[in-house]
Amino acid sequence: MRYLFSAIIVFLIVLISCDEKPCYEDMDTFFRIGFYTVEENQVVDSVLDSLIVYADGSNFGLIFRNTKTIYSELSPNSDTTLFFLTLNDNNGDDFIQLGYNRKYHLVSHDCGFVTYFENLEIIESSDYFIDSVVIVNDVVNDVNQEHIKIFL
Amino acid sequence: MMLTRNILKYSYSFACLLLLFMPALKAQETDPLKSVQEDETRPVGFDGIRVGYDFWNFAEAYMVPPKFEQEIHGDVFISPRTLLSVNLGRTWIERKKNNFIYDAQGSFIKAGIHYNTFPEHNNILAIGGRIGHSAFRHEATNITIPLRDSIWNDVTTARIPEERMNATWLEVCLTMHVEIFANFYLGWSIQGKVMLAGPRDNQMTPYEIPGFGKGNNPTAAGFNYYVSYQIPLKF
Repeated sequence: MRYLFSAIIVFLIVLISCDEKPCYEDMDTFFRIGFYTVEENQVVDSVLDSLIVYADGSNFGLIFRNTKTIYSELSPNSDTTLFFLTLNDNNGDDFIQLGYNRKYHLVSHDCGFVTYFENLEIIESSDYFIDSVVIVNDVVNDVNQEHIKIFL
Repeated sequence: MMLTRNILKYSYSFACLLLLFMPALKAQETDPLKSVQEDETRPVGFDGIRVGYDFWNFAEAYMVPPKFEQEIHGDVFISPRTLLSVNLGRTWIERKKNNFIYDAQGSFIKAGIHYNTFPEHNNILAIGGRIGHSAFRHEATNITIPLRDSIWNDVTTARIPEERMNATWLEVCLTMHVEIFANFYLGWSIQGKVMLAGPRDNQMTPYEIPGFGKGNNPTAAGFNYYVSYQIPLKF
C-alpha cells in the first residue's frame, strides 16, 4: 500500500508538471529550386557562378554564389509569388510566377502556426536563360525538399 | 508576488495530497472482521446509487490554468462485487499565447465495470475498465506568423475556424472509495487510457481532448479525487 501511494505522488507530480514547454520545433518552410542541364541525354546538376533572386513585393534580394540549388520563401500573404532571377550578373532577367494555396498549420501548441503552401503550380515563366521548368513537389512544408527543377 | 503565488500553489498541492491520503488512513483504521460483521446488517444487493463530484479538477485548473473541467461520477453495485460506473463531464480551454488564442470546449461520458476487491460495500478498492467518448469543438484566433530573416516583412494574421470532432478511448482504472461518515465517501481513481478513434484535424491538433488528455498523444493518464454521497435506496 505504501508503494502504491508513493507511485501516485510521483504520478501526480509528473501529471501537473508538463504544461508549458519551450518551442524546439523547426518553424521554417522554404521553397527550393534546383538547376540542371541536359548533356548527352543525361540530366546533370548545373552549378551557377552567381544568381540574384528578387521577389516582387519584397524588400530584399537574395544573392547565391557557386550553387546548384537555391531556396526562398513564398509570399505568405498572397496566393502567387513572382520571382525575378538574374544569372551571372547578366543584364537580362528571367521570371517565374508561382501559384499555390496557403494553409495554416499548427506545429505545436508551444510553438504556434506556420504557413504551408499546397498545390504549387507555375503560372508563367520566361525563357531568357531558362529552357524549361518542372514541378517535382507541389507541397512546401519543410526546408529540405526540392520543389522545382529549372533546366538551363 | 511570484513567491506568494508559488507558496499558495505548493500549499494547495500539499493539501490535495493530504486529502489523497485520508481514504487510505481511514481504510487502515477499519477492522476487516468488524466490517464484515457490520456488513451482515446491510442488505446484500442493491444498496443505493453513489454520486460524486471530482474536486481534483479545481486543483488542476489552478495548476494548469488554460483548462477547467467539471466532472460528476455515479456508480451502483450490480452484483455483490461488481460496480457499474458512469462519469459525465465538460471541459473548457482558453489558452492565450503571444502568437495565437486557442479556444475549445466539449463534453464527455465514460462508462464501465469495476470489480471490488473488498467484500464490503462501504470500502471499495476496485479495478476495472471503461469506454470513454468525447464530442468537442476547437478554434484558433489572433494567429500571427512572424517571419524571421525573411525577404518578406509582413506578419501574417489568420484564423482557424471552428472544427467539431469526436474521440473514443478505453481506460483501465484503479479506484478507491471509503465511507468517512454515514453515506459520505472520499475516494480517488487513477486511469491509463488508450485512444481507439482519435480526432482528425490536419491543420490543428487539439490541445486537450475532454475526458482523455493531451490531444497529440494516443495514450494518457488521468486522476480524479471524488467526494461522493450514497443515496440510500435499498431493496
